[in-house]
Amino acid sequence: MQAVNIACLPENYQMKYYMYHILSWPQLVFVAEDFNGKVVGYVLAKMEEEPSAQIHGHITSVAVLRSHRKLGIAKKLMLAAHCAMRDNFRAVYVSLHVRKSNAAAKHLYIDTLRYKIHDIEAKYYADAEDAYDMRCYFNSE
Amino acid sequence: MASKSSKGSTSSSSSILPSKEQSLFRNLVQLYETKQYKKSIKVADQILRKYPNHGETLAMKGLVLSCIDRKSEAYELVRLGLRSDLRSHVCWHVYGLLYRADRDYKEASKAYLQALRIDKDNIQILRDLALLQIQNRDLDGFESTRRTLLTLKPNQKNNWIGFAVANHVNGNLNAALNVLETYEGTLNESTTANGKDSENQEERYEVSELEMYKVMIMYENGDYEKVYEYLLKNESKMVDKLAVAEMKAKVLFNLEKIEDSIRAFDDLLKINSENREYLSYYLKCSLRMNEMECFETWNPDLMVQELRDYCLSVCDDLAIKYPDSMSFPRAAMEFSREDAFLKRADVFVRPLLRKAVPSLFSILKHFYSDPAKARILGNLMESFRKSLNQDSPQFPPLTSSENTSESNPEQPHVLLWVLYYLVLHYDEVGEYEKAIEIADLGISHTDSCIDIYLAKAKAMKHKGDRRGAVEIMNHARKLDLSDRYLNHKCSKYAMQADRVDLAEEWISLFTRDGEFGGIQALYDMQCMWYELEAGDAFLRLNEFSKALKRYIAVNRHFDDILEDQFDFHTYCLRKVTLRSYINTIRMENHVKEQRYYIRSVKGLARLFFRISNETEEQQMMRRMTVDELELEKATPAERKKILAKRKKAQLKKDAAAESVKLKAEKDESVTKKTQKGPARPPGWMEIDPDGIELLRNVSDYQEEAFKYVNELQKWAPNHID
Repeated sequence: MQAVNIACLPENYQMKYYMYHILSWPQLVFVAEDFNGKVVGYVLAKMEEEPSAQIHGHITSVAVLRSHRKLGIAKKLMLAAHCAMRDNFRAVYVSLHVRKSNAAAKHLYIDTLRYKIHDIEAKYYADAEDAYDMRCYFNSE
Repeated sequence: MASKSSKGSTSSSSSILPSKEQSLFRNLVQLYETKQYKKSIKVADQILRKYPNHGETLAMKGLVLSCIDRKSEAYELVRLGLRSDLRSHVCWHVYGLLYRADRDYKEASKAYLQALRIDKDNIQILRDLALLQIQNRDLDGFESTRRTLLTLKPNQKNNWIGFAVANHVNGNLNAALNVLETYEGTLNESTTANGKDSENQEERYEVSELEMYKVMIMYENGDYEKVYEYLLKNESKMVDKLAVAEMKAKVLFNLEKIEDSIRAFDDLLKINSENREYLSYYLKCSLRMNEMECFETWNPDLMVQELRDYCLSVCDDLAIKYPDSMSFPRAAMEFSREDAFLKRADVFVRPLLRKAVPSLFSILKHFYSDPAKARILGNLMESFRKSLNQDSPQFPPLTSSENTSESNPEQPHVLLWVLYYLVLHYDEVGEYEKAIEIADLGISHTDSCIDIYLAKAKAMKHKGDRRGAVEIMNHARKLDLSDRYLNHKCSKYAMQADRVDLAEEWISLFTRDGEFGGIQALYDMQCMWYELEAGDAFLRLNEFSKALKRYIAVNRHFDDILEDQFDFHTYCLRKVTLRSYINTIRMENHVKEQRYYIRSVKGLARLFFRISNETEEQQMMRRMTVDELELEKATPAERKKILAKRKKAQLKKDAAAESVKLKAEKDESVTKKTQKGPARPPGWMEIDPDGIELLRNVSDYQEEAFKYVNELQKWAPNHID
């Protein structure tokens, strides 16, 4: 997972952070393997820890290797995470951050998965790019 | 760090403080626990002014110092404290904590045990000892300590769970279950979420996790009947529906209730048709239902014809039932041969070629271990190439059908992706020239198709033209500068062509700017493939100390990963995510079998064998410091200059240090103003970046080499070459 992450995204994490997810919300981590047993994609999700009005989940990170695109892997991973959030934690919605300029990701979230833009967080990313704070409400499907 | 509330309470220490100092001491402990280190030092000094030899205060002050990076002073103080108060469990406990923080588990253990000898029922010390024991896999000790903790504090949930876990990891499955069942028996009626829909989400999840953990233990113990009954009875409390479904399906299989099992796996396949494990079980169920022999591991090549054919028919049926899945037609290809294989391959690849799926070859790569299948695929693709290469590009008629041709002409990109496949095909079967030739055809078809360049580079690399491969890779990289995957692949190829400079330049484009970027950033993010490639490259170039630095970096990551689990021993008991915790413990037991570690250890062994074969003179050079080396390599005239320069630099440095000291003293007397934050301490890759000091520290090269061979024998005995 860590290797896929560093090959795809500029936002990277140390091993302990992956362990923290797996040991806190084990049902919210999924990986996609190719037929040779190699990990080619993952989704890392969590439940919001701060108490808030509605229970919600958050997608920490999701990526699929460039060599394995066009197979609908990202969609499958996301849907699996969504489902697990509802079953295990009764999540009402799930949120995530995406770069304003990331057209491919926005297409996946908005068009395929029915996320909606909730807010804009200015300079959210390390390189000062703005982020869309997006949400997908489960019961609206 | 765990709380120290019991410290200072029942101390059998010989030096008891008067009440004013006692309350100061309590204050000191509290400040330490709340991480107010500067204040706690002040309080410690207050006590020490009147009682300069009070062991426990000295020890506590040492503990605080160890938290603000004043390690050597810390040890000194703690030892001083111990010397003046050998009978204080607090001192011994603190001593243990210091060692533990430095990962010296042996010494830490000794210190804790000493502390316990003095105060055998000290909960805090017992807890810390337990953590150490599980970290070091002293399973008997761990079980014993957790038993003691439970006996001392049976009203704490975590002690029950901790004792159950200790039994589980130590192989006492029945005992573990008993502990958990006894624990549940102690719970008040009103506190169990009996059918009542718990409002508290966290509680609901925890109850569920605990139930699932019990089921896990039962399953491991082989009590399948018990598992099944338990699942049925307690399903309403279990929120992890997927896990319950999987568990049920497996257990039904183990109980020989095949019809129920196959239905359960079919339901699971509906949820996730790409899951290999579900399919494997489904096939096993089918075979059983047909009174045929089941396979243990999935290996079609080892099966008899009859079984293979049957599995094939099952996969074909599933492919029809679930037309959107790739898993079943692909499995069908595994169970078929010759014409049956060709027929299915033909149908399988067309939609993927039309959709321009780059991983098509990777999906079929497994079949290349069978030369007959490889040939079939190659011929198939060549036939496509031929018929798509016309004015009205078409696929040839389907192997299975009677139609002469499909109706509409294919999109132009389809030919491109056939060519792309062929490049990888010829590369795989070793015909590199042919692969490169076809790649060039692909490029002239569409020169913006990045994947073709990747394939061409791969073939060139295998052919032996690594430099050429780098050029092609770089061309591909430049076609999409925002793609990190391309950047990394390009960097990797550069390393493999011994162009470390280019590799570093390119990969740094994606690390953060300034002092947080570059190699240190990659180290921080544990980017091991890069460190290994760099190590291998330096080894090839005979730059031994640099190679050493890289390989050791990888070793350090693995040590860190092993260390990472420490905090979770406490955390998981609280969160009750026990299944995941047990799996993590087991994973850590084998983590050094992972191929990155094995590669690093192999590299290290090779490195040290090489050095030990060097001449005396060369070996002597390796023992020099950076400064000495510089002198060694210079001419006599240059040497004078260098020495003079160094003297000047040293004087300047001393002067600067003086002025800084004076300024600091002046500042302290003035009000404390906000200074610029301390510069980030140098990262490991930045200290001794060329590994010269690292190498100097090795005294016996042969011995060091054998140290790593032993590691290899321990973790990968089949890999020794």
